[in-house]
Amino acid sequence: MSDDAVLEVTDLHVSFPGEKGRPLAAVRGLSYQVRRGETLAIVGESGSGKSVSSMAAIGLLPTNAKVTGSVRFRGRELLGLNDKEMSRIRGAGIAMVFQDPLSALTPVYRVGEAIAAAIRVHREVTSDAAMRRAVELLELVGIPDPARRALAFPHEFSGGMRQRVMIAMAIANDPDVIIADEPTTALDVTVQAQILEVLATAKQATGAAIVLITHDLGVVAGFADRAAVMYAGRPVETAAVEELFAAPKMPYTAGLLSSLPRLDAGRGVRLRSIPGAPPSLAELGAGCPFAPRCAFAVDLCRTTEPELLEIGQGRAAACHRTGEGLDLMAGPSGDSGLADQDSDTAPEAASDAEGAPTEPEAPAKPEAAAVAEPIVGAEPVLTVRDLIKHHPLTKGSIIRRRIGTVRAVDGVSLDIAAGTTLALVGESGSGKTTTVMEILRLRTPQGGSISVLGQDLEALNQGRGVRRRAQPVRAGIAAVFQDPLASLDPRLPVGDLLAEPLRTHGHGKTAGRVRELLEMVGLEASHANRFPREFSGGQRQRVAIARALALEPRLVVLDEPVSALDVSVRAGILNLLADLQRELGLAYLFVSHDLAVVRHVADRVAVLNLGRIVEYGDADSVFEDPRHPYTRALLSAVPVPDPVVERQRERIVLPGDPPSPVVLDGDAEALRGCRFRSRCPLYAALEKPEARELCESTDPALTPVGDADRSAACHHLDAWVPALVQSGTVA
Amino acid sequence: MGAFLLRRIVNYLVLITLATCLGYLLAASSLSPREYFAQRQPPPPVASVNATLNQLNLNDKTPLEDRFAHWAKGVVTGDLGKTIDDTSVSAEMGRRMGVTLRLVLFGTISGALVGVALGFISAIRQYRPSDHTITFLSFLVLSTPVFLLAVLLKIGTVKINQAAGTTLLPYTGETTAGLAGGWFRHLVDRGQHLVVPTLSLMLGQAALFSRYQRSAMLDVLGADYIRTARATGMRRGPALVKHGLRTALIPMATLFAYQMGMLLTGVTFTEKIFGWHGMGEWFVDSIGRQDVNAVAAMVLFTAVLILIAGLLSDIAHALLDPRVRD
Ligand code: SF4
Ligand code: SF4
Repeated sequence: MSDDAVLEVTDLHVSFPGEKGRPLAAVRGLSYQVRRGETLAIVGESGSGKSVSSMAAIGLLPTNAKVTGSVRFRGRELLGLNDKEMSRIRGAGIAMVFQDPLSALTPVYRVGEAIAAAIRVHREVTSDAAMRRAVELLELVGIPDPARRALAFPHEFSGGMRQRVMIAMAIANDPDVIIADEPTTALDVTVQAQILEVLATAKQATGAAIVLITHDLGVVAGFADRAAVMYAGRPVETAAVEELFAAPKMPYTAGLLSSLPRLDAGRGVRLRSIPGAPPSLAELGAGCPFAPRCAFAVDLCRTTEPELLEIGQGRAAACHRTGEGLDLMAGPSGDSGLADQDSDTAPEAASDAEGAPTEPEAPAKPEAAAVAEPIVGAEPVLTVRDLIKHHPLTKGSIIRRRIGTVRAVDGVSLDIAAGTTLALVGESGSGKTTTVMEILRLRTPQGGSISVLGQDLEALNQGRGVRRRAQPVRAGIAAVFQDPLASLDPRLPVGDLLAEPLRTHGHGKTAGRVRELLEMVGLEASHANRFPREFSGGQRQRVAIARALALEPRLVVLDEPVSALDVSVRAGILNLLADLQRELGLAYLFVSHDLAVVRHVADRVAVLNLGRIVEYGDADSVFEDPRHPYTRALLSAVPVPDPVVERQRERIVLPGDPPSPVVLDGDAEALRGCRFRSRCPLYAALEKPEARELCESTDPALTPVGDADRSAACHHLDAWVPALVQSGTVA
Repeated sequence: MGAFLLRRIVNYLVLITLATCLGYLLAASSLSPREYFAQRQPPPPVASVNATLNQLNLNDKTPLEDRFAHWAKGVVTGDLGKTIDDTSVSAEMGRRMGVTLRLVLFGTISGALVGVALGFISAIRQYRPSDHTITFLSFLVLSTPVFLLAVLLKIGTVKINQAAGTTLLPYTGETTAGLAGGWFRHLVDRGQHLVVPTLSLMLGQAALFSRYQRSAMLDVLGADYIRTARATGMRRGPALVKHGLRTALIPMATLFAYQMGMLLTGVTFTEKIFGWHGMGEWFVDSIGRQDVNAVAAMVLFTAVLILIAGLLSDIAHALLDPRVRD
């Protein structure tokens, strides 16, 4: 088997000089092989060593890194080659696609030049020939009008387009191996779907092996043949993707899989969470690195690190208890000491989970009704009507002139009833963040009206004593943002951070409340003396949540609260939020681009596109039967962490990028008709000219759909065209 | 780009006009040409002083507005007035401008080139001996006043000439007086005279540029795009130059242009010490002679130079960085 492996990594170790001369081991014994045409996924969270190992393979680690083991490319040992010899292999034999294409392309070169330069590093061709090849490659990766776009600079491309350029560059010299390091992270879901298709095309065109480095199990399920799961610098499980997802043999893998919110699961299902956080390299001891978080750990685990052992054809796992036939997915019974940090609410939560729907076929209507009950008669905590936020778009760095308008929010209406969750979903530029910011500002909106806790903001901001009158409203609404470190002052200990809002709102005794808050979010009272940086990402987010709750708000705005967190700690935060909502009767405005998370938390959902709501209503109903073409496409683009389901799904790949909400001055055409038209697959499939004409001339308004308190903005909700579900419509 | 430059130029013209007018008003109200004449031995009669002052448009008894109007009318037609010794300011300026420009131009260009190279080396060898040496030397130069540097250079040159046994590097004046020979001989002679004064300006520039270039380069060293370039198979050296240095040069464009303007102060010392009859020397002398029109002319010269430099910097910036192009 190893004969036809193009890349063979054996017992790779990488360490960096650490503090006090103790080396930090980033990779501790990684082995894998990939054959031509095969895709191997290396899955892991931050600090698992997955990226370091690939940089080590192509010799691009800083010089202070110590690399041992063996990396063989088509039988040739790469470790120990000098820069000149390695440079011949890089790009030609092994190519890379990096994350974040904004910073990965040199800003001063045209993209065509950049690709041509990559060709000419390895081949003696004229610059004209290289440029022609570059244009061909751009066409291959789906850049429209490639001859013209080849002359554009990276900053003139969207994120998705830049990632296509990166892929074109990677395949420029027909590599045998393409290492893709988080190639779709930070991209919108519809763009992620496009890029994965382009990668598949690239693989077909070159016949290369792909090493896909990712933290996203959904992507792995749909794209990879085999996977190696890494934890704390070591591979802990390797298997064919189907087997891995069907029956994980190592508790960490099993925990990851069962902690993922899934689009095809129902609302409110309690996620299994893995306690704690991934270890930092500096604190690794003897024993299994997962032992502190493992529900199955026995004494042996704490003293001896398990080897990665073959347990079947092409399968290996590193766990002492693999052979015991434990049901890893079910979780241990009665081991409350290691259950997740919100275990204090366990009895209640358990009953809740039982009653919750587990599959879409059996939507628990009674349960949904039970959740919806307080809405009736309860005063809404947030009402937004026709909210508008436009700002001028200017050009020129020194002399600014107005050239258009950014219609960031263009007529949004929302309601949130007490104790319920409304999710705002949409891609970048859809206006979800602007909407939230307009609400949190508590000022009179530019257009439309906002009323928070029954207080109309326009009325609130008029007359005298605005500050005093706004005080209770301010206390009643709180926010938690994506990056907890950025929103917490690093110089204050957590106790002060929590006491601060209490003091500004005139509460005298704070110590007791601080303790209460910490316990409420699953931290210990003794944590009050620590500083934010001493906490892991998940714990910091808990601190941020505690701070938000300090003044007993009734509405909490959650802006991508788990997006920056490691996969294994997300479930804990989501469970915590669910518990707090139930105990405190909180209403949530939940903003996220991650539809699986939204599926898990939302009672109602609003889908935003270009500053407008295109579909709005009960979450179960919207997710199970999306009606607007945009919602359909969005949902079909989300990968499901299940290879069997994932490979059968038909995918609607939207062409192009998420459009920008900019309307240039004098461009009346842009405001005519349905704004989703340029990307709308339904519009493209409509046959009757009258039907198309309607999309072109009239802006569709939100109209009620069915009976489930839903609405959608499209003229042709009933005209369901089969062409819509075809896949492979990459631009 | 064209429209942008045009707007820029109009802006600059307004600024130049303002600066020059203010410069004239300041000079006219604070300098006292009358004293210059009154202190002559023997003191000339008041009537004749007044007559001379009137003729030169320097009489402090004439209201400032009238003097200004008279001067401004001349300037508009290209006449910058008379010096206090009744020669044409424009003519004198024409003679001296080239001298100063030659020094400033060579000083900044060579200084920038050397500085960029040193900064680049310093950055890619961060914390190695070469980096420490360059850092030490550049701080040494930066903390030495220009005039001290010039004097030290002069001493050094004397030593070199002695060692060479001939005047290898002349250090006074622009040319050797009464030199015979063809145009080539003259050119070489001028070139030789240029070396030491240029060096006195260049060292400071190089030191400054090396600091800026070093930090700009350190900023881009860890950039993802260098990693990308390396991943396509480019070797370290070319990747650092074509992708790193190329990008790190962008902020230097601005610095280059403005330094050229700033050097006008440094050039005063250089001209004085090396006996070059340029604008800097003239400026100092004119203040001593209470010469209002000459000082105003100098303000005009500086303003034009700095604003040309600004324009060049904009153009260079746009050429280097596609992101700022409209
Ligand atoms: S070796 Fe022990 S601690 Fe590690 S994963 Fe297996 S059971 Fe858990
Ligand atoms: S109105 Fe027309 S263009 Fe707009 S979403 Fe519906 S079908 Fe598409």
